[in-house]
Amino acid sequence: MLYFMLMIPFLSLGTLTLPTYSLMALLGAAAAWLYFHQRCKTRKENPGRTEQAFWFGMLGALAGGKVLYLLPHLPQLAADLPLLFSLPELFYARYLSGGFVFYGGLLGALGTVWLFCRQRKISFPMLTTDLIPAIPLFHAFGRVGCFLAGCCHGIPAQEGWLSVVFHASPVAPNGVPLVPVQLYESAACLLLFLLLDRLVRRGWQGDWLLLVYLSLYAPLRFVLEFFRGDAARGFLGLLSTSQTLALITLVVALPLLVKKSRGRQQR
Amino acid sequence: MPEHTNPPGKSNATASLVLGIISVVFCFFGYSAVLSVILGIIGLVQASKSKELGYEDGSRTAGFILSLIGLIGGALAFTACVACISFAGIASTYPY
Repeated sequence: MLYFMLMIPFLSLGTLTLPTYSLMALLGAAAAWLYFHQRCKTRKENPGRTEQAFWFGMLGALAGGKVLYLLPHLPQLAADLPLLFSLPELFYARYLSGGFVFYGGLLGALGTVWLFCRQRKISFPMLTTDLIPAIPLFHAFGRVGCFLAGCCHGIPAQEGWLSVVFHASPVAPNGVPLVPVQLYESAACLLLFLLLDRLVRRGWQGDWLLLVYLSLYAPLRFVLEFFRGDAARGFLGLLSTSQTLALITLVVALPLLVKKSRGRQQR
Repeated sequence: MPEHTNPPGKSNATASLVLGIISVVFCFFGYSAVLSVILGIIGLVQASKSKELGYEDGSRTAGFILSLIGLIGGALAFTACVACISFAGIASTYPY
């Protein structure tokens, strides 16, 4: 069995201990911001205006990711509401800190950027042209953060599979060879970013890029979810929350992409 | 009597500065780190709006930097709490 052992949930710098998950998330956000900012600059956009769209997108991503994470836990959340007044620390620890669903974040970010464009009378396809490739770029960093922390871990690996063994993870089962599903998703996101960036440079608009991104990411996520072993991500029936959302996304995005490309061919 | 009007973007720069200071302060109080992240992002929005309106004063830059520090500090403290408490808490709480 081919496996390697790597897990650095915290990075110690002298007396300062930093969680690697947030460090990677921040690095991803910085990379996404730099990419978006650089692209907008080449288009000679007003930097202040495009930056606002980015920050609003980030706020929407946080809110959307959290709302969707809490959705399957609503009955438990309702039952625990009195804790908000009696033991606010426990309520915070259970519900407010940690746990975000990627699809919720994506929908939240796109929704807030769409509202921003609508309110400011800016073309959504134009603004999102540079924003869409930044999403898988951020995601690629985030998944490496998950890997380092041990969260979003894979199922136990079978004989002959590439696997990873955690030894001091607060979330992943320790001492068991697991599929490094976080790294697979990170690599796939990086490839998606490179593809989308290439399309941007060829003059593709944001609406096209969004459909391409959703149509490629949804089946990828659907398949990868079968290799995930963490139970805390939530389930809606037999499928995980993200698998259900991936199916819905694919059903909506793929026909739109086909219809749009047919319309383009006819013209 | 001369009319005193603020240059465009000045109020946004001031708002960014105030939000930035509050978000940095909230980083140091454990659970308020989540507020630090939210206020940091709103501070950054205000700084960017000020930039859009052409206001490039030091208060805008200070607001931008403080909001960014608040956001980064809040995010680090926020997930530190997650790793210490919430992961184990949630994993043991939910019957999946």
